Amino acid sequence: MDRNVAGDNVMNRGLSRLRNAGRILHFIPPLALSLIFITFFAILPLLYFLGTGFSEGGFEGIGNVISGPFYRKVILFTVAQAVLSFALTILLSLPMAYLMVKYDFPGKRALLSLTTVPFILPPLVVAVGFYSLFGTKGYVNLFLHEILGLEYSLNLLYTWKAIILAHVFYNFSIALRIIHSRWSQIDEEQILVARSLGAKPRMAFLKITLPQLIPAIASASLLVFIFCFMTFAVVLILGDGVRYITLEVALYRKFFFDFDFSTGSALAAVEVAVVLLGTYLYLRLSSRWGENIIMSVEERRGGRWREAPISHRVLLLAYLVASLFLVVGPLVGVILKSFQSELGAGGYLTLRWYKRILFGGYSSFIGVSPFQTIINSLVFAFLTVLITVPVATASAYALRSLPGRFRAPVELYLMVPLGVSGVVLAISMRVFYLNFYKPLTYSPYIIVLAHSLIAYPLSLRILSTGFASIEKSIVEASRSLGATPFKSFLYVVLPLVKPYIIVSALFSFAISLGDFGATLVLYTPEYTTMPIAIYRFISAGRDFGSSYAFSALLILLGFVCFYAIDRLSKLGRK
Amino acid sequence: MSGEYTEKKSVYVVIAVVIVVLLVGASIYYLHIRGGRKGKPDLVIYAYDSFANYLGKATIHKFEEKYGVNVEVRTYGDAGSVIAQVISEGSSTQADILLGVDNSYLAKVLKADILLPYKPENISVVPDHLIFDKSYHVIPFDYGYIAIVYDSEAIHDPPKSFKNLTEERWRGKLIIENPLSSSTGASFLLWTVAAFGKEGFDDYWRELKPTVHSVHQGWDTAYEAFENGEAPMVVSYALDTAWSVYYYNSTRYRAIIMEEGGYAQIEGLGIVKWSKHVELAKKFIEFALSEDFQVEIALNNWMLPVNPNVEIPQVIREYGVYPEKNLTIPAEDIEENFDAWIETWQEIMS
Repeated sequence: MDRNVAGDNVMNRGLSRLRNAGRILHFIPPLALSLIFITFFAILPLLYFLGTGFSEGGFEGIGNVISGPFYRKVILFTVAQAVLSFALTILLSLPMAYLMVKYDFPGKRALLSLTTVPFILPPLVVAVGFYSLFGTKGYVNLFLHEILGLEYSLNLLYTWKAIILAHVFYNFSIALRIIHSRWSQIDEEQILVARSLGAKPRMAFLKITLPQLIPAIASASLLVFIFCFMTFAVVLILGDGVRYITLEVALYRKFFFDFDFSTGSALAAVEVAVVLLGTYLYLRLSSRWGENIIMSVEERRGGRWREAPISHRVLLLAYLVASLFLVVGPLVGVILKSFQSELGAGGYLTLRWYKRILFGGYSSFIGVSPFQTIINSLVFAFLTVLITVPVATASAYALRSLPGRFRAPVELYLMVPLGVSGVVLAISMRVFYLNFYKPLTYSPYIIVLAHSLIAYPLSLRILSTGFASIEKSIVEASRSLGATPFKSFLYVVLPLVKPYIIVSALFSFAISLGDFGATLVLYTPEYTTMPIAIYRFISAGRDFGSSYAFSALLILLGFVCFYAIDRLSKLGRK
Repeated sequence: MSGEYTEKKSVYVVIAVVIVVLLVGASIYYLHIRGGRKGKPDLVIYAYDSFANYLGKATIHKFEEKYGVNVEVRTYGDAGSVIAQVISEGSSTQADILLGVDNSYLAKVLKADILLPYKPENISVVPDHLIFDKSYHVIPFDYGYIAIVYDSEAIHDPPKSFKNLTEERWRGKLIIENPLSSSTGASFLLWTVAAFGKEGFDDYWRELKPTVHSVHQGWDTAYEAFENGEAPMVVSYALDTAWSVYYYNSTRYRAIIMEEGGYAQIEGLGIVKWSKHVELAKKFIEFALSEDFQVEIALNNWMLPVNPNVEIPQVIREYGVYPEKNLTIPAEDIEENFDAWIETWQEIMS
């Protein structure tokens, strides 16, 4: 009997040791998954491809890039425009987030979905959206000339102002959604308590709401800054490519026009370094903010729009119109163009472009039928979400559980793909797998993987913001009550980060649906996607009507999908 | 009550999981049946992406039938991306033929040392001024004249010469492409060099600068701005009018070649240095110069065949514009000075 007790004790001790190990090491599998994903699909291919460049030019390339007056100017401009762009984006999205949290009004969900659409538009479509608004014959100038009778013309295009506005157009929804997710979870009771204790609304905002918003604002700022820092197409289409050159533009020319791989690789290294530096600063800063904020799981319900004071309503309405003009205006411009028989002056309204793309069958301009490309795009986007979101969730979970000193280096490592453009990533993957695993090189899954890698850093940031908002004691409580790490993850952690999972799924979907650069390198005709088709209608067919009609379809499809994802997130919620 | 809640929830979860699994299965099956790849290729061609749907589609099957082989065409965006792809793949490349090297890329491709020289037997049919690589690494297969295309509804008396183009009335009317990123833009720059000489082209650009409405990254965005009415003239190609007649039965956009003379953008192909099928690749080069291939060029690539024995379709003879005089720049000159010219251009335009 004694022996039995002793045996039990040994077993118990063994079990509890195992349990303890599980308690400490439960982050190992998700961490391993994340590291394998990034290492094999991004880091090794990049090292292989950029390494060839370095072996040619040594590390002198980087020195030349940093010390040369030309590149110094380029770096300066790149940073300056990125700072202006992100500041304006955040400034414009904050009031919108406020509006959406504070009030329920008809069409609120639809509006949120609509502002996400710009994110998926290929460059040629953004350009035409901006022409229709700010062009020589755009609505703004028409308004100035015809209605106000002025001589003055607004010439925004081909200046840095156009670049900044386009960046706001593109990134508005990232900022809006991240800030909105956080804001709508701030416990209203705290504010009510503060108010009942005599705090003025402004005071309550400054002391209670704002501090809780800061992590979300910082996260959004970082992402928007980096996207603008890495900007390529916008600068080339709405800038002039001569006076305004960003690092990415210079890099693209070095690789694909001069075939100077050593300078190109050096520029890529500088980009990665800046992006990692930005991420590092962000991580350092964010560790100082109180992370343990109790948030309500339930989304806050807004007040009724009609009950708001008149002055509020007028101000908010004016703001709404102004920001929507910028974010939704270009979309409307594209849609209007798709019904025009002639793009310049004159012409009549017509459905013939739609007839051609919907019932025309095989199109020699794109090599398959347009319908086929819609299915391709949806399949790629779906599979991308399926890879990105679980991996990013695993990464965010592992990072949250990692001992502090390991967290930053691992997180930086995982963020590397953010500092690399889609085109460079795609060509690296191609070259790497050609040498090491040929079957992947020409399979459609390489497109899915490329999209997933491009979407991953954004998803990771969004989910990290989510995981950071969970109070550790809640998880610990569930564990001390006997839940295994897996169970506590499933029933405690997951429901808490669900809104962030939805947002990251949505953006992964959007990134895949809208990707142009990487796909152009990797696709074969049978796997043509919608953005490629839009480009091919123009580049091969000069068929602008069909291209814009197809763009309008992409806008509609994006909108429907985003709306559906937003709606789905409400299912099963009490 | 909470039990009921969890049960209801787990039903949702099960349904969701089943749907996702079904969708994944469907997606994988779909991708699988879409990729109807042929057997192992005997020859692989790397080309810019429009080649696959047009010229390639019209010609490759003839070659396959003639020699009983299997040819695969792989495309990578524009000509610059294709060349970058071959360079970066290096000795592990699967490419046997690289197609799409033009005047502006020639020097860089030769410098990168990725092609084998091969002088085809039937090169004799090609007029001498079109043989742009005398070392025969790159063999020309088609060419086209760069032109100014204008909107005839906005302009009634178009400029006739480079000199005209600098007049005050054309201020801000011409959309151009950036020679740093577009081969159309590079060809236009070379055209001005050919017309005004190495010493004079920079002065000309200083005079032309006020005429320039905007500089674009590539031909597609430039043409989009033009088509949207941002400015009434764009740098494009001499067969543009023929093209819009053929596809849209419209002569609204008209091409003009400047009186000083025309400059041809020549496109060529070559055998990749690491090819394991050099003999078949040589046969393909011969084929590219033969009438079987050349006859398809006009209506598929909207360029002119280098083989003068091929009949040109009527729409192209009638609506295409042709120069009275051919301007050329020796290849060595381009090789030596191209970077410096671009730098000069950049200084003037910024």
